[in-house]
Amino acid sequence: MRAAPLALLLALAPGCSREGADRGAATPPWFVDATERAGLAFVHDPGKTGSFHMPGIMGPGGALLDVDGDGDLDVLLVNAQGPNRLYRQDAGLRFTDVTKGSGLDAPGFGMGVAVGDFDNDGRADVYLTRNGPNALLRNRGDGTFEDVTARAGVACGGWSASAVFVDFDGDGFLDLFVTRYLAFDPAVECRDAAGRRDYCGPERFPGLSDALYRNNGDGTFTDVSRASGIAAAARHGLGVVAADLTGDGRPDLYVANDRDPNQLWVNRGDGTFVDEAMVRGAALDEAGRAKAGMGVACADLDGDGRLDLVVTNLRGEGHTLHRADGRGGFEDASARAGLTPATFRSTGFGVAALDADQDGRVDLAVADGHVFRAAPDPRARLGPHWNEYAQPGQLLRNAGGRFEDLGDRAGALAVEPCVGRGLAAGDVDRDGDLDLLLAATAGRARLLLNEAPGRGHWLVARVLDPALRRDAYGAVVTVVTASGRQARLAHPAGSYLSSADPSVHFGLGRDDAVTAIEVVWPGGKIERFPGGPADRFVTLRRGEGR
Amino acid sequence: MAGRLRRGAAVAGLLAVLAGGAWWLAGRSVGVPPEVPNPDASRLELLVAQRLAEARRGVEAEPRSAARWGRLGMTCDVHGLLPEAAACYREAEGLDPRDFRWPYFLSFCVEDAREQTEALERAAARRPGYVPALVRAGMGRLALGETDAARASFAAALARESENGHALQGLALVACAKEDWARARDLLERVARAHPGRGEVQARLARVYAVLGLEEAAGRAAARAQAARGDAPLSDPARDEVQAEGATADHLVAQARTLFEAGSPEPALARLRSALAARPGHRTGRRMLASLLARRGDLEEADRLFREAVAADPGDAATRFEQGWLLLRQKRWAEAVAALEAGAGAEPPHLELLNALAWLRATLPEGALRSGARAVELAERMSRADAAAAHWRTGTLAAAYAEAGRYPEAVRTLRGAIEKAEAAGDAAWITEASRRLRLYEQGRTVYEWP
Repeated sequence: MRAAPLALLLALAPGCSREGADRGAATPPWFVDATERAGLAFVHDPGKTGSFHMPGIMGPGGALLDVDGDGDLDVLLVNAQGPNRLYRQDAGLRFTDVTKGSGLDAPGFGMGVAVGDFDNDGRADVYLTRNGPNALLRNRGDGTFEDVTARAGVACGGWSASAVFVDFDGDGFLDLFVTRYLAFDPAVECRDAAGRRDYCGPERFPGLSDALYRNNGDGTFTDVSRASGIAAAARHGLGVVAADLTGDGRPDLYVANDRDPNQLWVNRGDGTFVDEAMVRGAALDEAGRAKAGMGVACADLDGDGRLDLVVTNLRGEGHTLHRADGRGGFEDASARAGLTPATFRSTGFGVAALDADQDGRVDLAVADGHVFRAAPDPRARLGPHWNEYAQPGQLLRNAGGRFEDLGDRAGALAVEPCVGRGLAAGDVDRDGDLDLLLAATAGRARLLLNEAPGRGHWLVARVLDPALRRDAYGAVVTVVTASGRQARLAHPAGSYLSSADPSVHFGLGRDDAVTAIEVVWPGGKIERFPGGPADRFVTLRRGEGR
Repeated sequence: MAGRLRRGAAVAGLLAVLAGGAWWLAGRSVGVPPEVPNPDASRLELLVAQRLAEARRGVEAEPRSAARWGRLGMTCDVHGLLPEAAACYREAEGLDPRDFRWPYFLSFCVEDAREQTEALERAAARRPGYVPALVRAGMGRLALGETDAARASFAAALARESENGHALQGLALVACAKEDWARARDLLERVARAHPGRGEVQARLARVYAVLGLEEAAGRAAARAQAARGDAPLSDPARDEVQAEGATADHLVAQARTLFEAGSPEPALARLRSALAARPGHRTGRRMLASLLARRGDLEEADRLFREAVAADPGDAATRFEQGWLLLRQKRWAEAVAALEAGAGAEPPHLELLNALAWLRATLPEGALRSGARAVELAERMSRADAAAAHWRTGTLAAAYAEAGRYPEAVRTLRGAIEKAEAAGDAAWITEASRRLRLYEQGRTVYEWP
């Protein structure tokens, strides 16, 4: 008789709360692992385990791209010591390894990948970044790629990280921007606080300046890094996005730097750029500190029609939300949006801004993995060395101004810790929602299908410029529904070392129709397209709107 | 009615007491002796393993001693064994809830932002005069988006130290979060006046000025932020106590540096010798020991250590740089230049070495050691590697141009350097540079012993 009230009180005591331990156990997972059944069998090889070779722990990336132009997404995975892998998607979400003879498996210590049709022939070409000379591979359209690096003059050199194709001068040809990380010296040996060997931090090596190549339109590029002003600063560059962040119709570049101030290269329209990140409030966190910037995403996260920036950072820092303030600048809204506490324990790399549950609000998926030793996650199954670097990924649901970590409810993204690096979103199974491709150091790449419960209506739009025979990278698409307006940037680059589906995806919640669609094309021209029912794929061609 | 209310209140009070007891019981794990953390020592340095074993034995000898648990926590903490450290600090706090150090140190070992902040607030409540705990608690509340609680914490810190720069900056951040830009500007300017070199303050000022439409001021603040040499760390004697528990070669070297800077060279030398005994190939330790010995006048042993270091790692530019400085102090100019030249080809380049060598090649009075062409080569390599070079480095490039007879470039470059120095507020350097500028304008240069 006496025990019952005490037991009841113990159950009510805050210290006994089960919240967090089994949260979401009753709800189905948002993402399920379809890697095996899809036939993807890629395992990243970073080199000899225990060598603490820094480039080994910083990759890899991957891409979702339509290599054969059949309308569905294929998969390219970058390797360090072993060969890259190209998987072609066949019917019914089955992938076939078509690497052999494709030309994509050329040797090189691979880091990441950018995708873009640099010669405007209607086919997706590939730029591979490496610790060493990079490679530009032209898609011949027959399943093979031609290495045109030497002729194009874009090998770059040094240790490159993320890259982006962007037509910065508005001539119709995609130019190329490459972030470079640091001047690595393998002779430098680093240790943790307990005196054990560990990977080095970036401060041990000087940063490198990034590179910008102008496309001459004839298969060659000119290195304009110095002339454009980009080479004026040497920092530890990792992530990059290209978008018009200043509202002048020209694409700017935002670079996430590791323990250096991030850069916002404002395109002045005369072939030069100037870094205005400091005065525009996008260089540092709210306390004025440079964080360990890794990946970056660019999306309208608060539904005000302006493009915001999210940068993933190191454990103990929290990821940063630079919210566009409508005055041409950015404010660190990480704390107000709940992002700091939700991500405080994570070392984030790849980041995808996607409306996973299609409620009309953009969520965030993050690939996490340590860069320094940490207490192993008991669920990690990567062996004694890599278990110390594994972390669960995170799905941060946008609950209307605040982000909440879904924990294990994220499903396969979270429950199998890995050393997460590259992350790309795309509708791989063509069911109208966004799936994820996750690439991890020393682990298997994973295809995660979106099975979020209660998903709303949707619309997927591909934006094409028929005159250029390619996707209109940098276009901003806005849909109008009964609930309001939503804007999306059409560009596959961003995240970390990765390339996503270039189509734009809208979650429409309960709205089963779209009233109107508006496209701001690169250069600033605006066209309006008619709306229509939801739950369909549309193609918006430049010149066909009003 | 009143009687029912009184009975109700009594029952509620009893329930509250029971609930409190249950909470305490749940937290203390009554009846279960705490497990003494035993980290895997197999890959630790010997001194670390010994230090941990010693601290563990202390706990096993006195399992009810908060001090013993705290000591083991500190030993784990300083060696990065954070889960083990957190467990020890929790136990220590349970055993002695009055000691502010245990929740304070716990806050450095937990990964949950809220738990961290709450631990800091417990620490601040137990020792209200400890400003670092208040400042950190304020920053924690700010990170949680709780600006009013943050403001209260910063205000409490300022009540203790009215001009504490970190607390003032915290209040400015609260003002930014509330979009009270004028107040943020006032607070930040107050900090900047007291600490002009603090980059993070200048960076925030740049943004606040921009929001207020003060574009020129924003540009100047941004330039100052770029030129700043790092942020000012929060002075935190309690954490220094934890650092003193460090036993790796790296910790001993760091402790040696602190001791030397505090004017205690002998204990610093002892730490360095212990570090080299623990890890004989420790580059920084060997270099520092050689430098300290040279300063103390033990030139022979310093020379020997530098030679050993150079033999073990000929490409180590940092050692060549220190060796060069030792030789310069001894006025062994030619040997100094040779030592620096031996490290000048290092990849990645050692910027301070290039700067020093270029300066010597451009300005030494001994003509045989000067070379304008070599000075330009070195200084331009340095500038390529450090495009955002600080003003003194740009000044070196100007001196190299002058020695090479390229006076128009020297004048143009030095003017640029002076502009940078003005933005950084380095008045002494500007005075000296202006003297050189006048000479360069006349097609003349100046030679001086360093």
